[in-house]
Amino acid sequence: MVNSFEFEGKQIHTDHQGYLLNVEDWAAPMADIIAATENIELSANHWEVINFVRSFYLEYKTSPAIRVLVKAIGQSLGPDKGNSKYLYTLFPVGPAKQATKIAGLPKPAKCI
Amino acid sequence: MNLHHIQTSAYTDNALSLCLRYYGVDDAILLAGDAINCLLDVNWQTQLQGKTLYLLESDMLSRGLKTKLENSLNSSHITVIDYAGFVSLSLQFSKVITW
Amino acid sequence: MKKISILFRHSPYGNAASREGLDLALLSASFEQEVSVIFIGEGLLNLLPNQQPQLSGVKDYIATFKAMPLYDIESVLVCEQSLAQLGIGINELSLDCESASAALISHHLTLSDEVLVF
Repeated sequence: MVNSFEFEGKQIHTDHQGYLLNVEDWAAPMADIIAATENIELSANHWEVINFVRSFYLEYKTSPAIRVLVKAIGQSLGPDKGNSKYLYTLFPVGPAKQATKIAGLPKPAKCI
Repeated sequence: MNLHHIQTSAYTDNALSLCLRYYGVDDAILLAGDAINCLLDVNWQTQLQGKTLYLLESDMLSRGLKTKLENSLNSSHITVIDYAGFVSLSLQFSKVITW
Repeated sequence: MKKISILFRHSPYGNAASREGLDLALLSASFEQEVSVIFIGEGLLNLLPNQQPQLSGVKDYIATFKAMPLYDIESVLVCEQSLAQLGIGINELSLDCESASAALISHHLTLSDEVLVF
C-alpha cells in the first residue's frame, strides 16, 4: 500500500507506515512534518541524531542498528549522548525506527 | 573436525573444489544430490583420493548410480550412509559446513 | 558468545547470496557474536571498488560492507589463492582485509563454532 502527503506542492510517496519511498524526496523542512506524525517536536538534540543517521545511510546504504547508532553517536557526540537511554528520551518509540523515518530513510530491516 | 556437506554438481558449481582447498586433516565430505555425479569422473576420483567421503544412499540410488560406482565404493575411504547415518555424523563432527 | 565465520563464495551479481551473508554478518554482530567474514572464489568481487550495482538493477548493498568495522567485525580474510587467480591485489579492495593462505582459512574454520557459506 502506498500513501502520500503533499510537501511544497509536490506529492511525496511513503509506505503504509509513513517511511519515504525515495530518499531523495527528503528536505530538512520536511522533518518537522514527519516528526509531528510521531508526536515529536524537533530540538537541536534531535537534529544531531537525524543528521547522523542520514549521513550514515547515504554512506553505507543501510540504516544503523541501534547498537551501532549508540556506539557511533558516543564516538562523535560524547558518552553522555552515546547511550540508549538518552536516545530513547529523544525518540520514545525507538531511536532507530523514528530517527530514520524523520530523516526520510527506509525503515531499518531489523529494528533492534 | 568439519563435515563438508556438498549438494551441487561439481560441473555447475565450484563448491566441491573450494571445499577441497580448505579441507582439514580430520575433515570429511558428504556428497549428496548432484554432488555424487563427480565420482563417475576419473579426474574427480583422483582429486578426492585420501579424503574421507560419505555418500547419501538414496541420492545415489535415485540417480541409478549404484552399479556405476561399484568400483569406487569398494575403496575404503567412501562410506554409503542413509539419513540416520547423516544425523549421527552431524553429532560426531564438531560442525557441518553446508556449501 | 560464539565464533561465527561467514564465507562469501558467490559473485555479488546474479543471486542474493552475498547480500544475505552480509545481513547475517551484521545481525550476528549486533547480537554480540564474534563474527569473521571470509571472501573466497568469486566472493571477493564483493570487495572491488567503483561498483555501480544500480546499473544491474541491484540494490546497493556493496556500500554496506564498509560498515562492518562499526559493527565490530574486525576479522576480514581474503583467500590468497583466489586473489592470484582473479588477478586482484589485496590493496585494490575497498576494505582493509588480510590475505590468507588456504591453510590459514582451514585453521580458522576449525576454530569457529559455526561456519555459514553464502
